[in-house]
Amino acid sequence: MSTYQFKGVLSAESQEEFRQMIEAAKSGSSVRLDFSKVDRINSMGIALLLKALKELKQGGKSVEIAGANEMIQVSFKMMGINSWATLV
Amino acid sequence: MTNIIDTRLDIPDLRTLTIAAHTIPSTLKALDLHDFLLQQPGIPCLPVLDNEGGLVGVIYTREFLKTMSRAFMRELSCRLTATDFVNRHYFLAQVDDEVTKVLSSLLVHDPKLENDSIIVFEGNKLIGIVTVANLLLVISETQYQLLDRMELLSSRLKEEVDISARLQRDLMPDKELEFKGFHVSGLLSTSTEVGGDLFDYFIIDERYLILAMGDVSGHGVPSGMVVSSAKGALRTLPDDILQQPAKLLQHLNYAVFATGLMQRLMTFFYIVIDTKRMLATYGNAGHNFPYLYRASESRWIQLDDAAGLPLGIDEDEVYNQITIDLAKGDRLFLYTDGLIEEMDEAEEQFGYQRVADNLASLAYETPHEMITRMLDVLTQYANGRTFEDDVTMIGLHIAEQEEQVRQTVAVFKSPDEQKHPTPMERWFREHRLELMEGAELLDEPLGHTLVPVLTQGFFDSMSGSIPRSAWSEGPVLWAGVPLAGQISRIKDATICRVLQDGDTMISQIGLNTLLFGNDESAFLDLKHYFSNTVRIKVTHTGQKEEIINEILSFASRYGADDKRPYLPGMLPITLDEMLENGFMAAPDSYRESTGQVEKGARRELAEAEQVEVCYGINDKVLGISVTDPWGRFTPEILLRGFERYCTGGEIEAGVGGGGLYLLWRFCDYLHVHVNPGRHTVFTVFYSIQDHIDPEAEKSFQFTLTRNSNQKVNNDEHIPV
Repeated sequence: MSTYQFKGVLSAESQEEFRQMIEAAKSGSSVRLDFSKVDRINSMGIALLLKALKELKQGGKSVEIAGANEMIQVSFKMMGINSWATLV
Repeated sequence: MTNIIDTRLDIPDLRTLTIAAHTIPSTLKALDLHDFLLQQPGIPCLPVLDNEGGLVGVIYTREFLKTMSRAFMRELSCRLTATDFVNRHYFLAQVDDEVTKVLSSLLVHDPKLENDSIIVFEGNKLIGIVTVANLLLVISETQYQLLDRMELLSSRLKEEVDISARLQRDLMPDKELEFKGFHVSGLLSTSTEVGGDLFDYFIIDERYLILAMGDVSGHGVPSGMVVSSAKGALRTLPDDILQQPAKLLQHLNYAVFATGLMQRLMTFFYIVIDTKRMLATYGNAGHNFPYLYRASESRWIQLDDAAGLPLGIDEDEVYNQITIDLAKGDRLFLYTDGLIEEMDEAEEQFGYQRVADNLASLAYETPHEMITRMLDVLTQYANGRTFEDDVTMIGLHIAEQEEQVRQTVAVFKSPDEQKHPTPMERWFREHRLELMEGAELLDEPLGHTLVPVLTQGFFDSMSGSIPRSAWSEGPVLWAGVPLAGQISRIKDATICRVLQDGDTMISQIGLNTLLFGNDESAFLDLKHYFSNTVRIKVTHTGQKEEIINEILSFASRYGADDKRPYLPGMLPITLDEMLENGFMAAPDSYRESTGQVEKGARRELAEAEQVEVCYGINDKVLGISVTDPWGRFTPEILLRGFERYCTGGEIEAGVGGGGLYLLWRFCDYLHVHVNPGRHTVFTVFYSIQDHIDPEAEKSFQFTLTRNSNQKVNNDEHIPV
């Protein structure tokens, strides 16, 4: 399993990071997104994340999101991210 | 020889106080009676006897002369006799009754001391009258003697003190007063011991509104006795003295000097408002300076120009009085030093600054709300401990008469709810809101003072359509079930003001503010709401993190992050979304023309699209608003967003509403106000008092600045 680490604030400005993550995930069958260094994610960040998660799922990958703080977890729950990735 | 201590009390009876009474026959012509009283001033009352010498009732001179002074009364009363004017609610006592006992029963009979004398009998024979003023004076002297024997009579004393505490409370006005647009409300919160605070307000001559407040301090004579003697004087002095604060203070000074025996002094503030000429004249005997809110300047000032020694120190003190103009919208706030000197656990006094800060945020509330909320703040400050001293406050507001000032709620209920008032209606009444049946709404002009509110029951049973004209600002749904279960119906009915039944934020922000707003153009303007508002102009999108940190440290300076769990986590999310909304608020055409299409890109904001952030805090709530200069936001965008995400829709880049949904979920209250083409204001509030469940349903409202030139189309209907 490959791990990709996100940092700081995820927003519309984070497009490049999501692109790199998808690139990095190509090699294996599953990917772990390390959110332990993410302070915050806004709605546009969540939208980009969901787009990326859908793309990974289409490519048959399973995704884990690890270390997300409480607020991010609540946001994910509200925005339906949970059905596209496993929160650990 | 053994010393025998006499523990008996020399409480006098009524005998020495009784003065012979003129009696009159019930057949005496009213006009003759009138002439008689005019010729014989100083008679407080006349017992009226029937032809067998039985007491029919009493003519109280003041009451009678007042009635006779009405227009055409002489003409109308030429056939009337004393019987027609007799007051049967008189109070009688036996001549050998002790004065304290008489006063206690008098207060049960006539708690406001409206009648100024008592009829005295010996057995079944009427022997004279006693004036209430004399009664109070003698009791005060008795109390002094009583105190002298304190060690011997401590239990008895305690009882007397209890009586005077009761007495003091009974002497305060129990109702709010409304007179020609002047609204007055007062409260007294007594401390552990007998309070020495006094307040009163009343109208004389159908024109002068009088507010008075006093605070007794010192030792010896029970303070309650000084209070009752001052109050007695206040209620029995003639109108011409009551109209002149300087004279009034001089008279009270004598009374307190006599009763207090130089052991007690009393600070006193007294103001007479001539409601016709809109002038206020006040005098101050050493009392804390009251606050006056000047509506024209939107600020509170202290009335510190009239001053003098407290009452009861120097018999010869001469007091000055100051006259000022008043205007509609002005307010007054009177208080005793208990408010200022109450301490928190660290023994820091509440102080003037906190009073001023809180007043600033209460300048749009009703007088009742103003004083009760100030008391709430103080109670919280004292952390639930009993107050050290009495806390007394009076609030006054002069309503704008041009407008229909009564704030009215038109309540729409389901047929099942018609029979009884709902808890919501009872709560509204407590907030001094006028209620009317929703069905009557169509005949009423809607304004800033009339808001339609639908109960959940009504909304559920609603069928057909409701005339759109009624909803120029849209009805409020007083929601009893979560949004998720009814968002589609809410969206279809374009209901964009949803207050959740039981949401404690409503009272923390202020029910009246939420229903009627505090500002014409912004509905909820934080500048008027908080006294410590900070404003930041945002000129670059990159300032976002800096602003978030700024507000977080502001909240933390006020201890808000300790009091409100999750605040440091929630606040950055809501601010982020509000700022992004502001950055993207310009029309596409504008953004294309300036080459700024990319969402979330770092860029300089153009002069025309600058965004303003505003925030402030009080002891209950933290509020933050973000204003953009476009005014293009619509309720449909909001409701569509809520509908999508409340029903489990997935977020998708480019499809709006996700941010709004997060914003709503991560704040304690959300408000969007649009002044079309001028500005959109997003406002969020956080409780810093209650531990609000972050997952609970939040109230939200969308309001619109009404354009008075815009015609309402009566044929437009909301489809339901």
